[in-house]
Amino acid sequence: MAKARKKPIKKKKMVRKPGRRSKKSLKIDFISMSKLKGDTIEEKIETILDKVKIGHVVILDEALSPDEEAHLVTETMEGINEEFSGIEFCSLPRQSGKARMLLARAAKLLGIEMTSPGVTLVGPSTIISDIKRDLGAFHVSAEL
Amino acid sequence: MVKKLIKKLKGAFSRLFGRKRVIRLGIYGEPNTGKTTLANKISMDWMGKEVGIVSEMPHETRTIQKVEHIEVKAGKKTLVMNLLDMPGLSASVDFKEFTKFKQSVRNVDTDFKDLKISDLKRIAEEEDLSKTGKKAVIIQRLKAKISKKKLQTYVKDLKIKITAKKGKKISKTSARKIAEEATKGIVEAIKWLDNVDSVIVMMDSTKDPMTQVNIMLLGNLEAKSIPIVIAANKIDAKNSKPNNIMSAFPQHPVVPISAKEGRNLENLYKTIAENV
Repeated sequence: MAKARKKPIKKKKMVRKPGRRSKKSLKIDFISMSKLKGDTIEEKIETILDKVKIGHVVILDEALSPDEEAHLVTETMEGINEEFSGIEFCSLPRQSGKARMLLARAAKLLGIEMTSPGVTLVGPSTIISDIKRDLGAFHVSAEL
Repeated sequence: MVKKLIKKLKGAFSRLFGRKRVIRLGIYGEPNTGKTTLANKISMDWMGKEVGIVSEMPHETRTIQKVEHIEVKAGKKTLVMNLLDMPGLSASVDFKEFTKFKQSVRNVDTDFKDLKISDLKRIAEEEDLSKTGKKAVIIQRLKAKISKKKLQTYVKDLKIKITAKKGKKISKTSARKIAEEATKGIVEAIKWLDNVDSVIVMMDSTKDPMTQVNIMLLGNLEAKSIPIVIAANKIDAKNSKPNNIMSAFPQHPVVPISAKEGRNLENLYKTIAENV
């Protein structure tokens, strides 16, 4: 005798209730460099990267020096894994390394802490898709 | 300042005693700007050998490639240099990007069975093993004596061409390995900024040169007082705009070149010689 075929069980479609849709949000940390005053380069970079690694975009009220930028890239490379694929960053104004270095040396001799007025943006490369810059501004595209 | 003075004094003494100074010339830049193409061109023209593999895949060069003692005629001067082809600098390395590319010979995780019987026989000969028998028998003999790593070395040293796996996409495992090597290469390249005497900064003249990586690189070189020559590469491309690079970095000499076609390289050598 042929067995009676079982009716296939229809799966209920999951219906999302309005207002329950998960929204991705962009988290931005505005950090004043005065908060990082007294920190070594390594400590500054660690503070920035700790936030970027958890998906935040960090904005600082100073331009990073070329040496700090090189440290930022080196530390980023050492922290790359499957979850964290690196950063996109931009500093304004453009720093002239030689002039800045001479000024920094002079300031150090005089015991003055040098500040670099400007702005720096650092974000995860998975979120910051493009940065276009001109002489006095930069334009950021982000994807969530 | 003191470093620069010592360098100038060394140069003056070398000239005085007729000895040519050997400069360490680093080729830096972002990935896929043509660093290895230029290094290969210089090395092939003056030494008759290539430096590394050129491919479309970014970070193909993941360790510093060196060619020592190249003598290049730069106008009336002769440049003697140790050429250093650096891994491409970038602030991000995503392993998933590599899976979109096909394997180049170097990236192929070579297995014994991918080699032709004639090549297997050559390796067996090198290892003093018998060359007789079918492919499977020779493979068995080789497997008992050499590791896969040693096989890779033989493939490189004996210039064995592998076609079996070529064209296959890079696996996730290989991509992870490439990404790990690429990150190490970037760190190494940045550390080497303290050990170069002069730098060619390669920029792709078909793209926007105002990237933070270029700015960071130039800023660090300026801070260390290292002479810079910017090579605006890929002038053979239709959409090439070397003028954009010149207006973006007016404080540095910019030489438009095509490393692929060897265009304007004499001008590049002359500019390097003038700036060392």
